[in-house]
Amino acid sequence: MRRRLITLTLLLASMSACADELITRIQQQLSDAPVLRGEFVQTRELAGLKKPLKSSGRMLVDKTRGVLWKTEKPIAGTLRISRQEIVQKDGQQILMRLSAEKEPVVKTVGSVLFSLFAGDLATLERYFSHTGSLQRRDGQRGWELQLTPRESALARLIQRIELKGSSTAEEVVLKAESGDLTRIEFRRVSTASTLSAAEVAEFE
Amino acid sequence: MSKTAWFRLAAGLLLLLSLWAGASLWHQRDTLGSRIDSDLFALLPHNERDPLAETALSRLAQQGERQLVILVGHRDANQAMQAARDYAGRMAGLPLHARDLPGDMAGLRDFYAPYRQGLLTVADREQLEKQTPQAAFEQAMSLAFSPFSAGGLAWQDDPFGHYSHWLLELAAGTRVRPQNGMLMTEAGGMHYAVLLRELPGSAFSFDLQEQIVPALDTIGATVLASNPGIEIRRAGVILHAAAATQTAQQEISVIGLGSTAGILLLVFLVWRGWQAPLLVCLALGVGTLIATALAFALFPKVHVLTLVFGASLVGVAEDYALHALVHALEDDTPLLQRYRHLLPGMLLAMLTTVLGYLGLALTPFPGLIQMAVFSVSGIIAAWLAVMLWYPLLGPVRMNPSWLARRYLHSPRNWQPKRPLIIISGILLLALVVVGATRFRVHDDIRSLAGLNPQLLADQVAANRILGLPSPAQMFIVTGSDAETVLQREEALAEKLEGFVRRGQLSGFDAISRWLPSQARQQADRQLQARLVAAREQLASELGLPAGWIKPAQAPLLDFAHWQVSPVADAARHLWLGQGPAGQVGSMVLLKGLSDPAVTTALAELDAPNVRWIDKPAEISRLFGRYRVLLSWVLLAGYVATIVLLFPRYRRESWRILLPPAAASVLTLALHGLFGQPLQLLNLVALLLILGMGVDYGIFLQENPQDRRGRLAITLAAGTTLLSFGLLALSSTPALQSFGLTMLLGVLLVWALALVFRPGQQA
Repeated sequence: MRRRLITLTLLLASMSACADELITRIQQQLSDAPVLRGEFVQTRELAGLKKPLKSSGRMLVDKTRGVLWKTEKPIAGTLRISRQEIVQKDGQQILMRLSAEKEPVVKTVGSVLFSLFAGDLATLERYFSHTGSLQRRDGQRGWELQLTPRESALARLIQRIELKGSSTAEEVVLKAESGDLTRIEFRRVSTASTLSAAEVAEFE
Repeated sequence: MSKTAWFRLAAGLLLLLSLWAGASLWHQRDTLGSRIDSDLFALLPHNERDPLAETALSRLAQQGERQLVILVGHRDANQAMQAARDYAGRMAGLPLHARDLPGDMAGLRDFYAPYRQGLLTVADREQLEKQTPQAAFEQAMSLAFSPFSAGGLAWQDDPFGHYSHWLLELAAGTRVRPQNGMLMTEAGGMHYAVLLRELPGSAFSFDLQEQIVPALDTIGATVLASNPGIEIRRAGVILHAAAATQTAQQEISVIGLGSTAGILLLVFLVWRGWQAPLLVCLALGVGTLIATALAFALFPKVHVLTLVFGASLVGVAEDYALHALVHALEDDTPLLQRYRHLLPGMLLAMLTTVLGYLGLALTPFPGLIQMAVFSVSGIIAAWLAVMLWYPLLGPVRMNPSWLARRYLHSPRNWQPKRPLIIISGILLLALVVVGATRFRVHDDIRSLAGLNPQLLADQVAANRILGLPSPAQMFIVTGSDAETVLQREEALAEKLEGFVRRGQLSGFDAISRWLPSQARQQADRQLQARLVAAREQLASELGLPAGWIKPAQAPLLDFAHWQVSPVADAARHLWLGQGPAGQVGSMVLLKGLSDPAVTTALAELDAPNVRWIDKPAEISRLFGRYRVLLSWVLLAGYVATIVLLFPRYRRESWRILLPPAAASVLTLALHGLFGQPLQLLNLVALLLILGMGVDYGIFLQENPQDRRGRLAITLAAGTTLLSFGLLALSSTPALQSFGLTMLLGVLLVWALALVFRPGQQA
């Protein structure tokens, strides 16, 4: 009995070591370029709606400035996420501006979305516990991760996140506690060391 | 019974009284500490406001007074949390209750979700009034395609994001959020863990201060040492109270020790041997003992200032002891005969002083009434000890020291010449005129309390980090029922929003933010009903059922339901309940108010059912009123003194009255000259100057040709200067200003009494 307990403890310890190692191994695969550009296809399955909402557009990640999420089809809209605020625009009109200074939840959400798109696993690790592997069930080369919130406050917003990728994140599935589900696939992701002047202007 | 037997009986009775006083204090020795009060506000009169406002203020004061907030900050949230847990663990043994954590966003969201049709932010309300169905449709579509909603409801339940907006605005009122069972907040790049604690009793209780504050200091130092990079900020009335107590204790011991040593030195300079100092101490000891026992017997709580200040006032009784003992110098008159001779003057001197102190009792300040009772009983007791015990205990003849003998036998008798008096008179008059032009009065209560700057900075920082409202200024909204109050609050809120937009306020706390009036909820529902066209378009575009277009109307959120819900915890203290006139009321608290100009502008919003309350201003006004009242008491004191003096001294009475009167005027002029404004306490000092100055005059009148009279008043002035004048060194502004008045006043009254003594040309 005692031996079993010891074995179990050792097993658990090695599992958590494995878990930490998993993050490290994935992190090693991920590109550490400061700028990512790419296209995305988003599918939202909203509670109450029969058919999913598909949209596509371009995204831009600058690891210091934040994330620019530009939906082009079927309607144009911009979501800008930085550590200070989340700003949502349709065309030129600001629909929502949430300041992290005023509302801590905004900060958490902003930080989670930012880390998701930027592939910043270390930050995600602070908010979520994870399981995963260095093999993908869909047979592709790379890794996959399942994240569940550590804190009840965040759990009341986000139920679960699934991430797949290789040198960059390739697919994100975000299941909100409300039942809405968002699946995002990234395509043609390229890395760069700096933003172009036009892109900098878009962040202002 | 012979006269001597009566006399012995009286002396015996005084002994019994002293024994009773000592025994009663000894008997209660364990509970006395908890009956000493150090709350400055306890000294202030209860004022004449309406009861609802009084409820609001006392509730706020009580709430505020017992709270202790500790912020543990670090750049890293986990480190801050860890250090805070360490801190909290070490605090576990202290008599402090942890306060309930406010609810989180999810709790708010779930509670209010059924009522969301009636909940709109100001911005959304304005937008809805002019928004086209097409614009609303596009707004909802844009949200549907946005990857995530921060509000937490499914898109179909909040397609336009209005509820998210309302919820975030409500939550933005407090910046503190529970996280892993700990309250966390952020400011200036730092993460703070907030520890909220409540005291089991008053912050002004000495026992609690001693149990808690030194322990907190130690815990803070330990936690700081073992968690590098953290920052600790503390806020709570108890910290200020403990600091004030500590300062007072230090000052009392320094000033008390200094004045006792100085007084003994003076006594040794005049008398040879140990008898004189022992006799002086005996009289003072009996006076203080009986006064203390009486104060504790009469009042449930005795204020610390009563004891400190009262003891100094009793110190004036020393003048009688000195006067009596000076007459023993080189004198062989039998004791009883000598004291019978001294009696009329001593009696008048004591009565005029007691009269002056009784003037304090005429003011409505509970603290001053206590002080009057304490000092009057102490002075009478000390005087009785001098008059009843000295004749039985004291030696008939006492020997002067070398210095005193030189003075008593000096052949020279300096007397100011008439021209000198006239020239100094003119100079002094000029001084009075100049001083009068620069004379100011000052009733600001804040100047009375000397707050520790470090604690104050911590408090301000904690208020800023936590976004706490000001406890001193507020609106009180009243009405016949809750709905009326809420509607009036909303009307006020519209005006306050303007202040917030202009950056004059950072925000405000009102129940109507948590619970809009029924009228407001109805109106907002009607506004949201306009979205039907946009909803129809959305339903056909995205494939939603027909039932979604017109959501079922949930009931309006009403006061009764809201009040018992957990979300009300954060705002329940704002509700004042029912006043005696059947009215109900609530408080609207303001945040980020610091500019006096804004305070003035806010005061103009005052209306019959929306009352503006500004506590510091009100108390300052009250101080002003009582300053005027005390001026009249002072004048009455002079009149009463004339009445007492005239039968004995007739036309010579002016020699007794002029010195204190002139000294008072000159002291005021000097205050003007030094730019020291006149406060209530300075008037109390002038009342004392009257009492003592008259004593000096009487002693000189009684012994016109005897140098012993002059020696006695010089000693008396010297000891008074040492006991009161040392207060001028206090770091409490009120005491310091009082000490300065006493210093100047006593010096002047002593000099003037000598100049105008009988036998002088004038």
